Amino acid sequence: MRLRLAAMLAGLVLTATCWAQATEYQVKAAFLYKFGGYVEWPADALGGAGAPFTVGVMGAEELAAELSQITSGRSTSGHPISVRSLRPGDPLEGLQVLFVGRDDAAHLPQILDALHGRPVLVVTESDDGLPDGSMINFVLVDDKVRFDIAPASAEHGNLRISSRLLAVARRVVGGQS
Amino acid sequence: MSAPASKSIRSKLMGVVLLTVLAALLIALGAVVAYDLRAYHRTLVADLTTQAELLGQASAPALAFDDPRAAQENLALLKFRPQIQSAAIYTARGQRFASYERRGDKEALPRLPAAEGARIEHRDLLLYKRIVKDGEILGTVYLRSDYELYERAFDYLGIGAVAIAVAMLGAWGMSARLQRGLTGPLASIAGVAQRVVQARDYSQRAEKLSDDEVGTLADAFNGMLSEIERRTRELEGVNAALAKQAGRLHLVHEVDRAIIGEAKPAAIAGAVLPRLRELLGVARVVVNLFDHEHGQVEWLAAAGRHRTHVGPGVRYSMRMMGDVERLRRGEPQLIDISSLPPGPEVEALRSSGVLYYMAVPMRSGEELIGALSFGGEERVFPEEQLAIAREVADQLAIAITQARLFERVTRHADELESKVKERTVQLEVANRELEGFSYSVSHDLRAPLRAINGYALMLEEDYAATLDAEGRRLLGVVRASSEQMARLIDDLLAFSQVGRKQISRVPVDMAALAKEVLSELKPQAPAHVELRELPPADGDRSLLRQVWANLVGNALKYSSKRERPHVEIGGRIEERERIYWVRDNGAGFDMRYYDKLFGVFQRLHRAEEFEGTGVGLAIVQRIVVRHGGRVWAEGAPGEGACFRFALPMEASA
Repeated sequence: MRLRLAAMLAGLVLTATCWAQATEYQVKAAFLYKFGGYVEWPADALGGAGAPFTVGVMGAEELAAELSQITSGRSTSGHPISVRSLRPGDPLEGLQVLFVGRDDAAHLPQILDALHGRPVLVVTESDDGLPDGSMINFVLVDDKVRFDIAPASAEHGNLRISSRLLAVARRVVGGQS
Repeated sequence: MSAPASKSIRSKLMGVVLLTVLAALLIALGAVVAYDLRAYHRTLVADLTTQAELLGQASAPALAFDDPRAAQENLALLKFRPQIQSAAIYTARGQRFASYERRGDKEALPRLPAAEGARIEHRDLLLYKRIVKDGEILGTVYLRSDYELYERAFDYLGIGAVAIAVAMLGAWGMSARLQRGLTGPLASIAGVAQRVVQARDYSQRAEKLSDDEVGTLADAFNGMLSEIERRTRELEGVNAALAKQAGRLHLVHEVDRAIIGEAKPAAIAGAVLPRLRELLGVARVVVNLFDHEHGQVEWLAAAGRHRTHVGPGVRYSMRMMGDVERLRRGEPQLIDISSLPPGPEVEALRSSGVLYYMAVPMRSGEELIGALSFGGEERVFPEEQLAIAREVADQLAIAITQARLFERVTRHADELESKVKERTVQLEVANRELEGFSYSVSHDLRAPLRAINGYALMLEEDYAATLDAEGRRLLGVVRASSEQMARLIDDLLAFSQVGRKQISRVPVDMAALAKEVLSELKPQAPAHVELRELPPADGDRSLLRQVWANLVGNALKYSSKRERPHVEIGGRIEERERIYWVRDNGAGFDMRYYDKLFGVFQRLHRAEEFEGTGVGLAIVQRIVVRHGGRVWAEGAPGEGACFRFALPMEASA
């Protein structure tokens, strides 16, 4: 009994050490995956039961790889999670979440245009504040990944962001209608 | 066990009531407290669980998005729950993510979360609750709350103690009052029962204090007591009567025993009187015997308080016994000594404490032999006393009469015996003189007889020629007569010798003896003699030989005139004696003259027919009798005779 307890404690300490060394992308990938639990999509946007919950990642290969790794075999609200790596100009159909990396931030207006108000949670990582049209934007505060939320933008895409998510955001941008 | 058993019902009942109340209170209080404490524990755990759940749900995003500040804010809200001392949120990896302390004691927080659930530690309730989101464990909420179970328990204990004390006091007071109604009557009955047993006083009664079962018990107890009282009284009466009866029976028995024991009248009276006096319960009892001839009364025995006087004593006037005629008729006489003429007897009575006495007649058949008198200072003589006295008086009368008769008979018998003895001595002397005389006479007669015979013989031999026929005949008569007389004298001498001779006792072969006698006598007789077996005898050989000689001689003699004379000699052994007989078919005799058969000189036949002296059978009888035996005969004229004699088996005579 004591031996097992000791082994467990040792395991916990080991994982904690790993977490401390987690990279910024690893954290962001985890956040991306977790956002799904605090955002409400319109019923028709998710498809039938068993339809994949697709996260599109653009301009962040490393993050996409990380995300694929941590979500493999997982699901959110009964939908298996799939990760799709995108390039600018790629069709955006069937996405529920779209992360636009720093490298492709310039393409954001076109992407928003292409989405055209479809219920897709758009997440960005702009250090200069929440870009127009982005719903959640990652920022680094004291080397820690935080995020701002623009509920109005989300509402534009027919998405509802849980107040509990808002509670942990660094900043909530724009008035809430 | 003995101590509680000896306690009174009152304290037992009290104990039962108080114990019952105590038990009921303890159970009720225990149940309430247990229920309350459990409810408290459950409520607290449920409350904390909900709290933790809420905290977890609220902090799930903070955990998910690694925002300790938000979690911290959530935890800070716990300040509105004062009983929560500290709280913490741990990440799924076990790192403390956020914490809250009421008193700022960080060390109290566990470094690592434990398994989910509630536990109690140091009077605090610790709760761990996993934070789960979409089936994924995000972290753990830890809450540490005041746990006031013990305080509550102690509070309850205090309240319970006070409640029990009050309830017990109430119960004690109430049951004491109730019990007074219950145990009071019981105790009263118990007290009465104890007094009854200790004092044997069955007149006690229990007081009926209530109309319930105890009242019934009291009634039943009283009924039982009166029944016991009645029975005891009856029993005592019966016992007294029985004792008296036994005394009477004993007295009567004693008198009877005296009668059987042929005691003297005075001894009988002396033995009976003291007991009779006790039984009658009087000062003095006297047995008076009447001397009607002299008109006097004589004390046979008297019993007083201190001693008993026995034996013929004072004589006094018959008047002391009242009306003798009435006594004779069986009526007891009550005598008041003040009515008697003064005298020494009256003074003696007075000094022994007798003022009145009763004279009860002692009658044996029609004869009034005396009176039993008894008395004291009382004038009244109860019927029962009188009955006892009469019974004993009658019995005494019989006993005394009997004793007197016995005395008289004994006296007569003694007189007779002494007379017989005297006569016997006289007779013996006379007999001896006579025998001596007859012996000497016989002896002296022989000399002249021998002379007569001798001279007659000489005359016959020397002068026969000178005598004519008639002279010779007369001389023959002289000689025959003298010879006859000589034989007679010889026999007489023999007979008298048998009476004088000392008898020797030796075993005698009777067969040989008979044969010997027969060989001497047979040649002279024509008879056929049948000699049978003869048992031996003890006795004087020469005398027994004489017996055989006489009997066989007689038989041969009396049968000699028969055509075929026959003589039988025999004997047999009986139980106590040997019997011998000699039977012949000769002349026999007439049984009418049997008495004379064995007499001296008594002959049933004329000498012309059968010669003889008439002494033979007398000698036979004398010898046999002197041997302790007997002799007898039977016969009929012309049909023969049988003579028998018996000798005792053991020569004791």
